[in-house]
Amino acid sequence: MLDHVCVFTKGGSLLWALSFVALKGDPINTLIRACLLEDRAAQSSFEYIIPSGGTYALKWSLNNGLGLVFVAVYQKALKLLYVDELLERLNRAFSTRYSPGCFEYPEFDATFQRLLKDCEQKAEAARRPSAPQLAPHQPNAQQRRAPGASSGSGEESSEEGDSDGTAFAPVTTNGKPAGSSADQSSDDAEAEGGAGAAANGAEFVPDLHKLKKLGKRAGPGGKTTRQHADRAEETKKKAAAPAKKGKQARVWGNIGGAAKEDGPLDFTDGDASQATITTADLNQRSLIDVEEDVSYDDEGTDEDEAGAEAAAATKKGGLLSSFVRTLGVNVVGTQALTRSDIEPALATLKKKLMERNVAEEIADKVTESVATSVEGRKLASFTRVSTAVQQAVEEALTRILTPKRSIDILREVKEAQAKGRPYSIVFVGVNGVGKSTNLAKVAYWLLQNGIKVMIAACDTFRSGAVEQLKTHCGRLQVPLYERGYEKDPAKVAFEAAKAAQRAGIDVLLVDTAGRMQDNEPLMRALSNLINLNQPDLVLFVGEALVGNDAVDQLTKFNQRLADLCPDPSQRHLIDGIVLTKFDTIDDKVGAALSMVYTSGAPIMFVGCGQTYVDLKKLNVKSVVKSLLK
Amino acid sequence: MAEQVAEALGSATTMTMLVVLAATLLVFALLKVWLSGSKGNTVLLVGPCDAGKTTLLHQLCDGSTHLGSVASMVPTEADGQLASEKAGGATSARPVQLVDIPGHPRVRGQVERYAGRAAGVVFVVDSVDFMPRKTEAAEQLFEVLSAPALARRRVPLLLACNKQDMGSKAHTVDFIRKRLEKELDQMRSTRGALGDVGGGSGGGKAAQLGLPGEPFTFESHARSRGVRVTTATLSAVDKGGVAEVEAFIRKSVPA
Ligand SMILES: Nc1nc2c(ncn2[C@@H]2O[C@H](COP(=O)(O)OP(=O)(O)OP(=O)(O)O)[C@@H](O)[C@H]2O)c(=O)[nH]1
Ligand SMILES: [Mg+2]
Repeated sequence: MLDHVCVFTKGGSLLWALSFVALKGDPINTLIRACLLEDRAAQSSFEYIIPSGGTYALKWSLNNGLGLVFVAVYQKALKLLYVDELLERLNRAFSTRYSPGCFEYPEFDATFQRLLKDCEQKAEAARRPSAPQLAPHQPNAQQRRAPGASSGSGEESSEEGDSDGTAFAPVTTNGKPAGSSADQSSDDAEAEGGAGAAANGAEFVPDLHKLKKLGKRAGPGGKTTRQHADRAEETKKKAAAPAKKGKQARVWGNIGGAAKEDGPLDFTDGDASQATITTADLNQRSLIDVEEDVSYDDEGTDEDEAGAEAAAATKKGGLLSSFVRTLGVNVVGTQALTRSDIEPALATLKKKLMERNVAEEIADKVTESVATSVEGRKLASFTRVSTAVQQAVEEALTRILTPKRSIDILREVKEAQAKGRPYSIVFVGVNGVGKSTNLAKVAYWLLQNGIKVMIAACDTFRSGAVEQLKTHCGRLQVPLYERGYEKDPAKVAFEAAKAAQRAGIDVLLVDTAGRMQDNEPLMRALSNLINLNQPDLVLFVGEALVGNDAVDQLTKFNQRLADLCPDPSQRHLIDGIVLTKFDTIDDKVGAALSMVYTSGAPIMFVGCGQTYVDLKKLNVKSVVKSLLK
Repeated sequence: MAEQVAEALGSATTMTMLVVLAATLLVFALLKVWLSGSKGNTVLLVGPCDAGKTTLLHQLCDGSTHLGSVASMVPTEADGQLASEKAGGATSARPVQLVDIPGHPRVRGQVERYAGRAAGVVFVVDSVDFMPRKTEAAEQLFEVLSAPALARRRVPLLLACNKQDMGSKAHTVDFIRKRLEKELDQMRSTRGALGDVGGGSGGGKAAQLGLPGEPFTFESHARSRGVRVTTATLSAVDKGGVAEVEAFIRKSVPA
């Protein structure tokens, strides 16, 4: 069972929501902030840990053309299989009803209930291993095999009609597509109606208008409507009440789709011939229902016309637009971008990102995320697809690189100062990336801002490490706390913090041994140091030169820090990144992106030279520019 | 050979002429924007996450908060009459464009995109959940106040303390103003202490806040920089709770 389903705009207006169980915590906003806005939307689901216990799974579907987001929330333990399909159909059904100025859609409840029931039943049917369910898959809806009207395969044919819409576009004499299955963007209800009818009838059931006019002749076998009306009356009496209720909101679904509606009429387990007859009857009943209510008829016609227009547009636009599309220029300005339109531009961009030294894995994820945000968008006239994609990538890269955490360390230092305690920063990283050097640069910068600094030599592993710091401290005239080698670095740091407090120091900079991300004992020691001392800031020092390795380093550091922490509520991961040797890389600034995307931590400092003054902040704009130029 | 040179020269002169033409046009366009200054009709709604910007937008435009809101991902532009004026029959009033800019740190930088045409900025903060997030709010306010495109044109700012319907749970406007002033005062010395790599290419130099010698207050900022900063109570969920914001909007975009 689902817990909650909702539709909202990217701007943040809730348009429609249905709760089956009151939501606990704030999963929707968390999804938006921690996933959709983090350019991780290419992943297919999101988990939300409920504060009071348990986990929600969230899935979503986007309509980029209209700027809509569809989200379903359910208990992760349930492993619902129909959610993806439900969201897709919800997307289609809601999108046709959406009008930008309107923020309330109470009438959509019924439509959704029907979609849900349908998807649930289909999922249920797929699970039950009875013979009719495994009935032959219909490769083409036009074959219209009569027995296919049982709920399982009838539905299948409708899906078929949806997915390869153009192959299934019967046009009635008045030029309208009968049942709008051909129109991909059309309301789900229509699609179903059309395909359901197709599955039923020996002759094709034309559009609603025609049915009304013909009145007496419709459906298989040429039976008169009157007869069917009588039978329908009977069936109706027998039918469960909820089914009737459900039907009211249905328009096209009334044609032939009724068999899917309710338990007692579900003949999926019966023999095929019986199923055919009964379904035919149900079919008729539905038509009568339509005749009874004119307003539904009108609505249906509207939608039908819309469908016809769209279909006509596709037909006309077909040749020209496919030609224009090959040029990569959108002239008409009304066609939504498809995956294949943007694929070439994405490939180029991915290549460019990788040339700039972005790890392949990250380049993949970013382009994929961009794809999900561009697909379905409508381009302005005379816009190149590649321009649109480029712009979307630029926006995404800016978002990714923009810190979501304050990187104003001085302010945090002043806050700690006001509380009368030293602010501590631990520098971690693999060997030889310039930890000590950049630590000294940070010390210099802090000193320049009138802050009292102390350095703790917690690299008790590599010989010469302490001496190296001594030299820096001498030059900077900064006190050094050291206990030589072979000591437990966690304890040294702890004592250093106490010493700093006594000496009235503002900031304690802790140097640690360089370690490879796979070195288990050293990773344990680091985790220990962090857990024992609870520093204010853990900075990962990484070279701007690294390519694919940056991802592995950061992932593993974070992973080990998380795993080795005894108390999950206290766990302290990497807060920020110091990017070193930035002056040596030219325009290959990709590591910045790889590191930030992997860890979610911002780049706090950039080391760009040999002297103490060569410490800077990252300029997001210029990095994005270098990545894309 | 000579021909080629001549041709190259010719195209060079055409190019120069074109460039000159484009430059003059640009100067005129810029002048127009510059002079018209606050004559634009765009008012920006900015502030941290969950402050109630989207709710306010709906209340101002439609006089209803509809079904509510979720975190915004992209800015929303809404053009038209203020709901209260529409209801009051003042349909001749000048239409306003409101832009709701998401508070999420990753997207709030989009303010830059709209700064050039803003006639006013409503900075919305949550008066209930203010203390735990005061730094975040102050940082964002700092960014807005120092945005060159806003400071240069002296675009007025309204600090709107939202959720005042929550009674004693909500901090007072005065309290919030004082805390923010204090935070901003501190940030003046800590922000921008480090240079950028890649050279500062970010839309001009950041504007100064207040006077260097004295503690930062909105009053001193107004005096020294000519940017009017006022405060208001707000309850975006109530129809009557947006009156002060409406008054600010009307003042920024005269009818
Ligand atoms: N009590 C009360 N709640 C409010 C008020 N205004 C907004 N809220 C609530 O605050 C929450 C956040 O409101 P939004 O309008 O979505 O906030 P936002 O500023 O647009 O947030 P972002 O889009 O994330 O930047 C919603 O649950 C609102 O119902 C108010 O005046 N009083
Ligand atoms: Mg919002």
